[in-house]
Amino acid sequence: MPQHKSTPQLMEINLGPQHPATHGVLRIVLTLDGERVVKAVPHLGYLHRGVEKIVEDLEYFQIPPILDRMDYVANLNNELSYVMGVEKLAGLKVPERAEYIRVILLEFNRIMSHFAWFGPFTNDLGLFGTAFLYGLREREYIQRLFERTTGARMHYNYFTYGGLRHDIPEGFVEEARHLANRLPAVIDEFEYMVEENEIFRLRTIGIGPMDGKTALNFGASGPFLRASGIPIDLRKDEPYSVYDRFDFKVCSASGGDCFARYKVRMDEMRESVKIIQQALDQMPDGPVRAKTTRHLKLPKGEVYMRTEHARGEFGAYIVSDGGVRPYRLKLRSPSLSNLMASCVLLPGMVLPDLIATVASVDIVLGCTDR
Amino acid sequence: MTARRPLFFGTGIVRTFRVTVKHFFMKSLAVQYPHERIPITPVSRGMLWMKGAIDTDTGFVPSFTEMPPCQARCPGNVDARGYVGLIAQGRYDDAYELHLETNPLPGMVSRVCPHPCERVCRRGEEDAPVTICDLKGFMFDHVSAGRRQKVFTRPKIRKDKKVAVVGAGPAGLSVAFWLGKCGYDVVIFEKLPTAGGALRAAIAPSRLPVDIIDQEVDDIRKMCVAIRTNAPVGPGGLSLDDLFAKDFDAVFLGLGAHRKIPVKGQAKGADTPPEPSRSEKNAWLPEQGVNLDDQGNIAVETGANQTSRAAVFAGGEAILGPGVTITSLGCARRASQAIDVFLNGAPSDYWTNGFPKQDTIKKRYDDVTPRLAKAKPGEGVLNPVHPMAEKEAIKQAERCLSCMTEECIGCHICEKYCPPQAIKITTSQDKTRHIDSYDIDYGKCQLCETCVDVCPTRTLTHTPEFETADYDHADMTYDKDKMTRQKPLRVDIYAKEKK
Amino acid sequence: MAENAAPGSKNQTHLLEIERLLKGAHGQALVATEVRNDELFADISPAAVPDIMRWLRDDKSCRFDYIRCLCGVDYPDHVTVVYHLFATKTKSKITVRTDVSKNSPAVSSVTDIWAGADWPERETAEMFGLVFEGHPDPRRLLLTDDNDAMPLRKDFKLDYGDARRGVSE
Repeated sequence: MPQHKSTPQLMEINLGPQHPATHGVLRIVLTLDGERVVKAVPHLGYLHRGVEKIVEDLEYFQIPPILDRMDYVANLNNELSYVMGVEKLAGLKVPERAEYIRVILLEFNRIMSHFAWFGPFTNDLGLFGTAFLYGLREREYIQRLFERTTGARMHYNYFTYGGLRHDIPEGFVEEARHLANRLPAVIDEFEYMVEENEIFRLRTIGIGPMDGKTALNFGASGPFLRASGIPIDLRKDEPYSVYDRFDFKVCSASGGDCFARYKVRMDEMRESVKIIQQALDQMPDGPVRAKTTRHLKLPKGEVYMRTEHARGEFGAYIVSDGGVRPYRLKLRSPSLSNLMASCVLLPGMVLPDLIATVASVDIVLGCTDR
Repeated sequence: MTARRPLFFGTGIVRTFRVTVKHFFMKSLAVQYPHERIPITPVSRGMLWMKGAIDTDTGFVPSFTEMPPCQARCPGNVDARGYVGLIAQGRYDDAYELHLETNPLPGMVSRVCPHPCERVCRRGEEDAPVTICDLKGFMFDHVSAGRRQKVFTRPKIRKDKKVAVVGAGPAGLSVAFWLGKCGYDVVIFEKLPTAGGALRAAIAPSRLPVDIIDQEVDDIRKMCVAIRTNAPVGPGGLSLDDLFAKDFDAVFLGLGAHRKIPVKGQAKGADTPPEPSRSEKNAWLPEQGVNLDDQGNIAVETGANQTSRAAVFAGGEAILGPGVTITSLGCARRASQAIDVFLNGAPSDYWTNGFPKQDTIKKRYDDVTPRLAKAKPGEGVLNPVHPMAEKEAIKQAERCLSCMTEECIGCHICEKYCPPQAIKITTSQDKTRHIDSYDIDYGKCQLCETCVDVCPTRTLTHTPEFETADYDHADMTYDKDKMTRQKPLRVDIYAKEKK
Repeated sequence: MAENAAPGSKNQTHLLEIERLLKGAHGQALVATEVRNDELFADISPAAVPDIMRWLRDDKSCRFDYIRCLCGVDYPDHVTVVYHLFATKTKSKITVRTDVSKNSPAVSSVTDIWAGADWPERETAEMFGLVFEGHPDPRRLLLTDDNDAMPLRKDFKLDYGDARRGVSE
């Protein structure tokens, strides 16, 4: 066989926007030297719907449905930041029961989101099928509970300023408790499935490592940041809602690689289960919605409300001019910052590692593009 | 789903290999399927259905179980939606008759009422509330003499029971009206030379003209055997024992709580100023077996009107303390029903044979007229009554949104607030403003329930039944005929689980 | 709520201290400062953005090492660029606002201070027609390259076609 010359033959290819491994419509223009990535330029905006512009034409009570469509995997977490921002600016007091129900649903939503991440992630690593379906199957059970509670499978539109749109259905507590009790076994099963798997270990350990300082500098947050050894969690650092009443720990790992990100999410789900169980025990009776007017007028002012989303810090910056519509509503997307941070890791990797790294970040393009 | 069985336990399908997968499946068996265990009531949002729509023969009968906000907020539960709807149809006489079911003194009340109904009016959330109180005054001014004559006639069927009403204030007068309607012989005892109570004594004539009081007192007089003025009950007059000795079967104490001194000029604050010496004034009552409470009011059980003496009832400010007139009327209505049940053993037909509610739904809706006149700040808390022109009043009444009637009136509010603009309504351009079409485009609908939230009539509902898959976009647009269909197109997805 | 700490709390004292230091170091570039709801608000002149931002990150009492959010708000005569910063050690928050004139819509980039400002600056630039001077990669982020509209400016009206019926302005 004739020997190839050693001068690199660079090739430019498009990864995405329609590609199963990019989790949505992310397009990365790759310059490849063989299988090694020389340059990776992400292109966003394929799912840009102008949410921030549209909401300026909507009244405050009309906005939550459109927020559901941003991060469509952890919708309730999207709604929360906005709803709490409005409550803070309007000075509304949310009934205790509503706060507890919110926490229970938010943590279930976080687990659902992590399940929906776990499945496709293993798929991207080459563990085709089984783990993917396990992840989605478990998500389905929680989704069932959500469907019966909120009335919708994905776009819940359940939180509203002042509390919830309606009370939980009969039997919710029993079903939620049952689900929460079995979830640790499910998470164990997931770990049992992949953690000792040779392919999984080879493709995650030491792949795409990011140190904490860089991650912080890039504004990364959530499990992505915590996997780099920085235990920042808004539920603990700046407790909102009733999170200061629960006993849970902030999960972090030191590796900063894909395996650490996987591990942090798995541990985090166990903590979420703990929160759910405590919240179910402590949940009081009472109303679920404070008395508000439909056409709410917020006083002149601004508020930046941030919450710990399944993917990191989700912020809603509301500027009010005293009217019934927001003057400006900026939505800070955790996916955007995390994707931006991960993109510096890509040059120098081999192509399959790029897929693994992007998958480990857990991005939702509906949220990055807005 | 049934419990999982380890199908491949033991030997695999390939005969030459023995594949033991026991461990894996045993672990999975620990995982149970939660939805099989506990049935939860589904509240799933499936599709929008309409309960009823004007111009659509659906065979639907509105339930009227829930009160509209104006009626619910009113202390006397006056059916504002009903009489405003009738005014919009130009039926002032019917509106008046309906009004008397809950408030027999519309003329006086329209001049003094602080109208809490307007504060909660659903229309007020959109632009400005319907001026309900002004419409009440308009209605009183325009009712025909013939209908007035007909309404204030004692019924032919008599009950042969006598009731003494002490005090000719708003509470006493209205008790006399309702008990007269039920067929009792009512005699009113008033210690002042004229009837009217606090409304005559404490309200400036500039706000409440004397001839309105005279007119309504005269109307009530037709329902009674007599109104005896200058006839005090208590110190210097008859005692309760005397009344029972005169063959009265029950006594209603509507003593009021007002001062006798008329207020000069416009009243400020409430329509009746506070009374400083109620305890002294009511001091004669305990000797007659009627107990007082700490504040000097007549003691009754909460929400009831029976006093500590048998066959003696009380109502109005005598038990509530100083307040607004309409609160006294609400209390008096409950007292009348209690007296009726006490004397008759069961409620009379009058309470049930009311004006047909179905007729009160107005068939027109006007979305353009703003509030016509408004009290200026500093003009006192109460509205100065301005005589309304007939055209004005009808336009104003048409602004009512007919809340909770469960029948679509085509107000366009759902269309206005639908975030994806999936709803399209067309109304006829002539003055009837009937809805020509009501379409929801299910290709756009995101089932966010915003329209259900904002619908004032509660016509739109969200149900778990759904049928949204289709092959043609035109079929995805649902009109009112499709949406008011009685049976869902497809069986409830949870029907099996509900069993 | 837990985050509305009482005045005089440790965090509040710390923010007042930062406010004092900021006034001492960059008093002439400050338009207004305020401590409210456990958060420090500082309005600064656009020319002072690089200096004050670098100071906020590097000064040992501040150490705002994390940029949460960077966005613009359109007003009739200027665009306000808002920076939400966070100190991971002290958990303090600061909101820095600077009014950029629409006649010369340029403001210094802070990407060399926080790399996390990269994409938010690109987005703010295209949405409001701003120029972030010194940005390493000033391409559009979400809009297409041939789109010259400035969508989040108030004079950009959404065209709903006939979809937006019945909306009264």
